[in-house]
Formats: sequence, structure tokens, C-alpha cells
Amino acid sequence: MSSLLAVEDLQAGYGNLSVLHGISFELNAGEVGAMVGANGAGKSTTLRCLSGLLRPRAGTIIFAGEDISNLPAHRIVELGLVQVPEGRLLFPAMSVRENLMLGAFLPEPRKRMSQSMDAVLSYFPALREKLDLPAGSLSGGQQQMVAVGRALMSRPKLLVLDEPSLGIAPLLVREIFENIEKLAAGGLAILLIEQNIGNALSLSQRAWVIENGAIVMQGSGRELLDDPRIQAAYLGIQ
Amino acid sequence: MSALLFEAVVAGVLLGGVYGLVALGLNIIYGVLDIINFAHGAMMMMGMYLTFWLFRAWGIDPYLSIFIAGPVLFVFGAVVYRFLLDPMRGTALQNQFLVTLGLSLFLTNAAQAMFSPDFRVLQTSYAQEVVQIGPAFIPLTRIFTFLAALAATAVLLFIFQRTRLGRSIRAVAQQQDGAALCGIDVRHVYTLAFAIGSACVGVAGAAVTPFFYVSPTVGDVFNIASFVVVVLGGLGSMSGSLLGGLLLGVAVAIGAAILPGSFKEVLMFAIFLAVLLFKPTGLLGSKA
Ligand SMILES: Nc1ncnc2c1ncn2[C@@H]1O[C@H](COP(=O)(O)OP(=O)(O)OP(=O)(O)O)[C@@H](O)[C@H]1O
Ligand SMILES: [Mg+2]
Repeated sequence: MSSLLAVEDLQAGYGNLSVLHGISFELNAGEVGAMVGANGAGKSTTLRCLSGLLRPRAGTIIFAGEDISNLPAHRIVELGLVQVPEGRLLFPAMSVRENLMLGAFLPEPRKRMSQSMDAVLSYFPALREKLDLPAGSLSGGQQQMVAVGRALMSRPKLLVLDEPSLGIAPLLVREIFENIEKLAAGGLAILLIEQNIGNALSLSQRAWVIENGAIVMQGSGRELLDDPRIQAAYLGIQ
Repeated sequence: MSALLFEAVVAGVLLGGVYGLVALGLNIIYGVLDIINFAHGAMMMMGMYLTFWLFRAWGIDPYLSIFIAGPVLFVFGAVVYRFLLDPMRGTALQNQFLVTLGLSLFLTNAAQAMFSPDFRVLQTSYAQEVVQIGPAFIPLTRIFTFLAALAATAVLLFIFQRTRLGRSIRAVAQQQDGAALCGIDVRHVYTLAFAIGSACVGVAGAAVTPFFYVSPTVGDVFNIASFVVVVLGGLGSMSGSLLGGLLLGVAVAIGAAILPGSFKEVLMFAIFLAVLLFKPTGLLGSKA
């Protein structure tokens, strides 16, 4: 079986700064993959290339059989690769409902908008009573739920999450991770970035450690969790 | 209130509707693209000449020309965005300002070369008709123009608040990367926003020609007015544009009625400075 996502020798940067120095990895349909690494390692940069917000300098990204390396972001969403970005990037002055509706902007997802809305609200029931409030007025955790909800509204084949637990109350982090597990159990492929790596690795079939723009270690989530080097570097276990 | 002052207020409200529409166009472009379109007035001048010549050549009623000038300026705006402004995206912001400034000079000079600097007046058969409102006599054309501007504003507000297209434009204005991640073609929305903002001055230009002179530099008047209105109503605030337009219309009309000579423009600038000094976020705007 050919993989859902295949990244080959990806290089990218900003201006004179070169950030990614040849990243390669693959993810199959239905799998959860986690990418972990320190601040500034290049995780978000990798994701920005996948979703088309940043143009790669070299390398190829094949998604669902198509070369998306140079496609604009909106075409990539259309193909089913949908990202929940770092910082969430919601529409703060619009209601939660409008934010979710915008997730179903494209024609295909739009046909199934009301089903998707029901599904999102059953994942995140707390949003039900916030639907008419401006998204910017919600707490960080609830905004993260809106961001994940908005991405689900696009009916992704691959859901890409950039640090969904960043700056969020622990209780809500748990809720978000429970939902990620549910989505994965339902067969959705997920690519996840986390600094808080215990949660991420324990539910991943594949995991990569990225340092200074290169993958330095890979394996299943379990393997990495059990690796003494990872334990020392990221989990504070001596 | 004296009849004279009352008449001034009514006339002000009526012209204010046009200011509001012109400013709305400027605000849409600014809100979505962060570009202040210095060619806004010059593009309105295009709409005015178009209306003037359509009337002169084929006797097309200026109010009918709204449906020609609006679409023509829409297309012109789209072309300007695609070929002049889009290539500048990602470079320093002042490049886009300079492009619109250059376009303004180009259009004004081209009009001067083609049509001479003469002031022209479009005389419809109903130009002299008046309507009595209370103690005031108001030219019929002023009322028609006001209604046209109001209708165009209402259509735009409806599109922005209620349609999928409008929602996508607001989304891009608020969070462009977020919008792209929803599958919205951001470049397409930019083009549309500039085109819609330009169509506003096409409509406004056609609508004012029944009572406003046409000349190559006539756009300056409306440029200044729309900057003041945008500042009054709040940069980026759509409903603020209409309110600001009406306020400016009234203020200028009263000023013209009680102040000597050509204090109109001076008054506009005075309002502009006063708002910037005391309420820089505009009357409805919350944050800069
Ligand atoms: N827009 C940008 N312009 C310039 N440099 C950037 C930009 N975004 C990121 N960088 C730089 O690129 C490098 C990688 O950043 P990136 O955001 O990919 O890291 P990350 O692994 O996601 O880190 P974090 O865990 O802090 O989110 C960093 O050195 C960062 O300073
Ligand atoms: Mg990051």
C-alpha cells in the first residue's frame, strides 16, 4: 500500500535563514504520527510546508498520490490535508458558528455541513452554548476546540495538529487528547506536533524526533517513549 | 432652526450618503488588503466621465449608468489588483501605496490629456426639479442619488454579512492564513475586495454626475472626503462608513451655510485632525 503522506528531502526556511535541511517521512492512512522536538527545531515550519502556507525550497510532498509541494494552501485543503495551525488562527470577531461554517467553505464539505456541525458539537459539547459568541471571547482551551472543530468541518483525510495543548488548562488538554484518540479510532489519519510528548507518543504508530531541522530518531511511539535518550532529553527521566 | 440651516442639513445628509458609499469602498479595500487606495478618487472620476460620455453620446440616463459604471470599475479594479498590486504583495507595504498614488496621477493626467481640464456639467431634463421637505426645497437629483447610494450600501452590507462570499471576505480580512486553511483562495478574495471597493466609486461616480461637475481632478474632493469619513467612522468599520459619511455631509453643509467662501475643504481637514487628536479609533471603531 502506498502511503497517504510521503515527504521526501524537504528543505525550507525564511529569508536567509535555512530551517529544514532535508526532512523525509511517511504516514499511512488511518495512522497517527507524532513529531516531537525542542523549541525552534522546525516542527511548525514542516507543517507550514505541508499545508501550503510556506513554499518548500526543495524536496517533494506527496499527499494522496498528488504532488502538493507547490500547490496553494486552499488547493491542499481541497485534497483533504487540513491543518490546525500554531496559534489557532481563528476569526476572532466572528461567532463560533461562523468559524465552524468557514471550515466547511469548500463545495464538498459544504454539502455535509449540518452533519459535520453535529459531529463537532458531539466531540466538543462545551461549544454548543458558545455558538453565538465571538470566537475571540473564548478561553484558550475552547478556542483550541473551535480550531479543531473548524478543521473537522473540512472533512479531512489527514488532520494535522500543531501543538494543540499549548497554553491550555490541563483538564482541557485531556479532553482534547481524548477526542484525538476517538478520531484516530474512527480511522482518521492524524499528524501531531507536541512538546508535551508523553501524550503524543503514547497514541502514535509512528514518531519522529526533529532537531535543528533534521530528523534524528524515529520509530513507533512506544519505542521512542521507552528510549532512554528520549526519556532523558524530553521527559526529564534520569 | 432656520429654513436655510434645515435645507443645509437635509442636503448634507443626502450628499453624506454618497460620501458613505465612497468611504465604504475605501474601507473594504483597507480592511481586507491593508492598502489605502490613493487612486480611489481618480477611479471615481473615471466613473463620472464614463457616465458623462454615455449621456452625451447616447443619452443614457446617469442613473442607468450606475449599472454600467459599477461593473466597469469592478473589472478595472480587478485588473489593477492582479497586474499592479498583487505582484507587490510580500514586499514593503509602501510599495503598494506608491502604486496607487502613481495610478492616481496617471489617471488624472490621462483624463486631462483626453478630455481637457475643463469642468463639464451633465444636464438631465429633470435637473431643475425640486421637492419640498418641510421648509426646504431639495433638488430631486439629490434625493435620487442618495437613494442610489443607500441602496448600494445596503446591498454591500447584505453581501458581507449574509452571504458565503461575504463571509469569506471577512475571514480573509481577519486572519488570512486561517482563511487559506479553510480552503479559501486568498488571492481571489483580495482581487474581489479591490474590485468591489472600486465598484463602489463607479456607482458613486455615476450617481453624483446629475448635480456634480466633472473634471479630471474632481476625484480629489471625494478622496479627501472619504479619508475623513473613514477616520470618522473608524478604519475598517463598515457600518461606521455610512454614519461617518452622513456626519461629514451634514458638517460640511452647515459649515458651507454659515462660513464664508470656500471653507468647506478647510472644515473637512479640521474635522479630520480633530478626530485623529481626540478619538483616533473613530466613532465606532474600538481599536486601531
Ligand atoms: N516567520 C518566520 N520568519 C523567520 N524565522 C522564522 C519564522 N518562523 C519561524 N522561524 C524560525 O525558524 C526556526 C524554526 O521555527 P519553527 O516555528 O518551525 O519551530 P518549532 O519547532 O515549531 O518550535 P516551537 O516548538 O517553538 O513552536 C526557528 O529558529 C524560528 O525562529
Ligand atoms: Mg511550532
